[in-house]
Amino acid sequence: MAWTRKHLLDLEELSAAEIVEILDTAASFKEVSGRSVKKVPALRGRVVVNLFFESSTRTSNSFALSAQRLSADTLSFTSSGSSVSKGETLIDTAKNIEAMGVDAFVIRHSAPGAPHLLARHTGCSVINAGDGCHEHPTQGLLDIFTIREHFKREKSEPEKALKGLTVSILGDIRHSRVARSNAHGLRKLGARVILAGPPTLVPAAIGQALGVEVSHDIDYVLKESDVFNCLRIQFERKAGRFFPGVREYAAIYGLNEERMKKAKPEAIIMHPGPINRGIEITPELADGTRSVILHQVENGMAVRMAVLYLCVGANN
Amino acid sequence: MAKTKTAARGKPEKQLHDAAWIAKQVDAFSKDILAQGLVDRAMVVGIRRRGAELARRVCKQIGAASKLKVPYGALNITLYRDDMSLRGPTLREKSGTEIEGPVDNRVIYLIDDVLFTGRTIRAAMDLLMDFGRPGAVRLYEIVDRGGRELPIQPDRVAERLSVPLADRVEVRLKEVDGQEGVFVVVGGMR
Repeated sequence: MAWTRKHLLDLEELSAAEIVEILDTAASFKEVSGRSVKKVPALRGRVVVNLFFESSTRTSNSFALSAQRLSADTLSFTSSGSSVSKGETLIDTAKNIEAMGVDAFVIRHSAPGAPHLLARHTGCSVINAGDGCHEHPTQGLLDIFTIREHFKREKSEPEKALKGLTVSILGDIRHSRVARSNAHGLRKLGARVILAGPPTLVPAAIGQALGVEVSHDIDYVLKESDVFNCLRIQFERKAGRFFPGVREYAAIYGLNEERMKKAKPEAIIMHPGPINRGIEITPELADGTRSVILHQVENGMAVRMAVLYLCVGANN
Repeated sequence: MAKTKTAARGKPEKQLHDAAWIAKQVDAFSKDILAQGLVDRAMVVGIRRRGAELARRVCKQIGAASKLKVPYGALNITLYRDDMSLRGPTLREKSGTEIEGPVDNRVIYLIDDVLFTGRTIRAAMDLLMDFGRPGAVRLYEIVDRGGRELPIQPDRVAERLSVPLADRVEVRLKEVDGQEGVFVVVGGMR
């Protein structure tokens, strides 16, 4: 198929075929990171700006490095120390940077819809790197890439790519943009999705809104799942108020080795990071044989290269 | 010369050569590479997809004739193309680049199906250089159809054709196209 979108704002708006196009592109880019010269000329002369209004380790570095591997020039903007602290609006900030001659914004912002607003007001490509509790499309894509690769579904039809697989997303669903992007993307590729965790963090309405199952019964989820995607409890979004205590949460909903004995032997464990070790997952599991957490990070590079290549490439 | 019409594209086409002819060229390429006596330093590399398939056949042939295992490579030149601003970022090949072992000091036999503008070969050479410093690169083409836009010439070519720029020359292989032969699609370049 021909890729025509110049923005990647969320996975909700993409078709299964478009998602698979990104994943296939990423698959063909993956070997670049293994070369001794980890650079290709595809986006030579283009400028990609990281516009991060929220803190980030993995995503901002992964985007910067991905852009550099495609030979784009990169500029990193963080709100602290910028004119945002003097009261400049998002659009004014972006337009001023755009006037310096840039091609793409990778934006992370605490306000849902900030990337969409930016897309309406600039001529640049806009890639959403996380907007509040709304979506984090590249995280969703790299999670789906990792699942598709692990279960060897690369050759399947887009709508059936993950058919027959049950993916449970565990933990702080209420505050999670990763859960939303995953749910939209996984469902489009035919996977069964279960959102699981305490009722306060996994309200039934979220399941209805996303068209996926909700469960508060961890034993049921353990038995059913091929993939466990553990999410971080987002203490910075006051998630700690939604359950009595961290130890109780770990005891009832955290993944540990004892609990994983009830899971399918071939089931894998994912986590988008950063991990609260000992809360949503024990260190033994995070570093154990079922874990594909570092593959996710590795695949993130290929997926972000693909997204930049496709969106910036389509913006001529 | 049999004239056929592909229903899918609705454009008239003629078949110039069949599967046996292609097999003969693969055989000739293999013998030529062996005759150069550099086979211990050789690497046979094809440009995805059809060139890679031809390179695989050449490797197999050399292996059968000499009992030598010549390293193989397949190049995906998507990220080296110079026409993204014209054609957009569409991915034409789904498999990545794979090269068996280092290219340094190797004599690279670069196999491709149809030589036209030369831009694909320019991209492939840039890609190869990112993997190291080959001792030499030799270009083997099944068909040279003319129309060069860059100063690139093949070291060996099975057939030179003179066709109008609007026509498309295709080498079809069963692994990729389901049929085998050399075809000219009249008006195939749009």
